[in-house]
Order: sequence, then C-alpha cells, then structure tokens
Amino acid sequence: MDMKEINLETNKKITTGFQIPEGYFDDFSEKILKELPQKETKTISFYARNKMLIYTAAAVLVVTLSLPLAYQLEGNHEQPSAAEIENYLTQQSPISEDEIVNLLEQEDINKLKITNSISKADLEEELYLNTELEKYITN
Amino acid sequence: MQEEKNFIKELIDPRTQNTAFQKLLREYQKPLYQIIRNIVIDHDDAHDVLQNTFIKVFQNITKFKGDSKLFSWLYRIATNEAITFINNKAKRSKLTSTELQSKLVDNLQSDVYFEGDEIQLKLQKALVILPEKQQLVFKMKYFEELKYEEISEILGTSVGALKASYFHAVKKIEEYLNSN
Repeated sequence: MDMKEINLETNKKITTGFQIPEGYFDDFSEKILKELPQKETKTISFYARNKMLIYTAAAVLVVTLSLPLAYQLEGNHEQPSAAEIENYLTQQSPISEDEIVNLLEQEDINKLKITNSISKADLEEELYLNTELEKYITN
Repeated sequence: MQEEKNFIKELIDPRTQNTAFQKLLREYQKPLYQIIRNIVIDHDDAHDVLQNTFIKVFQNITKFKGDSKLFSWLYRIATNEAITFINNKAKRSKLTSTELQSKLVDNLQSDVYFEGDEIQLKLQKALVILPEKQQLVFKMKYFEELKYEEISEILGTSVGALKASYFHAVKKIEEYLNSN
C-alpha cells in the first residue's frame, strides 16, 4: 500500500492496538462492588445528619422545662389577700367608691348579694327611717 | 427514556441499588474502559481510572438529575477522570501533558498489552501532536464510533464545532501518516 494514499475515511479502519488482559472483565464488577462499601462507609450517622435538629430540640426542651421553675422563683412572694387589696383600694387608691361600683360585673353583684344580704327587719327599719327611699321604690 | 428513569430509581433505592449497579457495571465497563484507555494509554492506569469512575458514579448517582442521558453522564465522568489523571501524572513527573503522552506512546512498543502494528503505532504518535479537544473528538468518533450528537452531550460542545474539530484532526493525522 502506498503510504501517501492513506485516507482515514476510505481506508480500512485502523484500530487502537490496545489489548485487555484475558478475563479482565470477568471479575471486574465483583472487585468494584467489594470496593464500594469501603468507599461508601462515609455513611452519615443519624446523629451527624440530624445534629442541628437535635441541638435545637435540646435547646427548646431546656427552655420549656425551666420555664415553670423560673416562674416559681420569680413569683415566690406571697399573694396579697382580698382584704388587703380592699383596704388598699379604700385607703390609698384615688378611685372613688362610685367608680368601683361601676366596674362591678353582674357576677360580682350576685356575690355581694349573698354575703351582704339584708334581713327583712333591717330593711323595714331603713324604710321607716328614710322616707325618701319609698319615693325611689314606688317610682 | 422511562426505562432509564426507572433504572436510575433502582440505582438510588438502597433495596435495589446493588443489583442495579451490577447491571450498570456489566453494561458500561467495556465502553468506559475503552474511552479511558484511549486517553491514558496504559492498561494499569486505565484500570485505576475505571475503578475511580465507577466509585464516583456510585457516590454521585443521587445527584444525577436526568438532564442528560445516563450514557453521556457516565462518559463525561470517565473522560474527566482520565484527563485529570493524565494531567496529575504529568505534573508529578514534571512534564507537560503532551510530553507525558509522547513518553507513554514510546513505551507502547514494549507494552505487553499493545499489539499494534506499525501503522497503529504511527496513529498513536500522530494523536499526541493534536490539541486535547481534537484528540478527544477523534478518539470518540473514529475509534469508538460515537455519533456527533452523543459526543456533543459528553463534551458539552456544539455538533458544528465537533465536526470542525474532527475534520482538522483527520487532516493532521493523514498528513502525519503520509509524511512519516
């Protein structure tokens, strides 16, 4: 063959000439598969994968659990009794009696009725002594 | 295409992964070896690169988005691994990539896994003088007989540019073969 006439498109194909060892591919996939788990042992543990989540959950838990304790420590002083509040309001507060009456709800009035129920005799005596009241009632 | 999607799902699912990977190895070990060997020339090096390629494929299969075909994705990894290997080897030997390739081709005559005749050896020598891209295109098109569209997907170069590269490569090689 004349060397000057080499044409890659028309001439017989020139192969690479590379040889592969006999049986090379027979066990290649097995070797690779054995190799894979070792290379893949970088499996991320549950802890590592969820580290941030675990830390966040722990932080939330600590805060939640310490809230009642903090509340208890903070609010450890004794609550004033109802009588003390009443006394304070009458003596110290600039709020007038009328204003307090206006703030009373129906429920509070009912309670007052029970505790301060007026006997019939007292009522009659009051009506007898205070004639003007009769006018209010009849009106 | 649906078949390929299912196959990728099998490769990702831990329950089917092993069997699917065996299938992938059986199907692609030979063509990927060829493409790698054409670049790195030496069989032992080709073996190392092929092994690394499959390990990389296994580790990154979850990142495969299916934008390209599985075939081109695998070829792309193999090609990149082979080029990186050659560049690193050249760097370690304090040689340029071309100098290293010349050395590797010179060693072919004594290589037990090379049984090429004079013209085959000459073709290997001619390839060394080509720029990297032209070498790749020529090896993929002439030796592996891949279609331009396939090479385009692997190398991310337009078909037109590939055709031009191949044309120049063929001309230079013919010139070399006919003048030496």
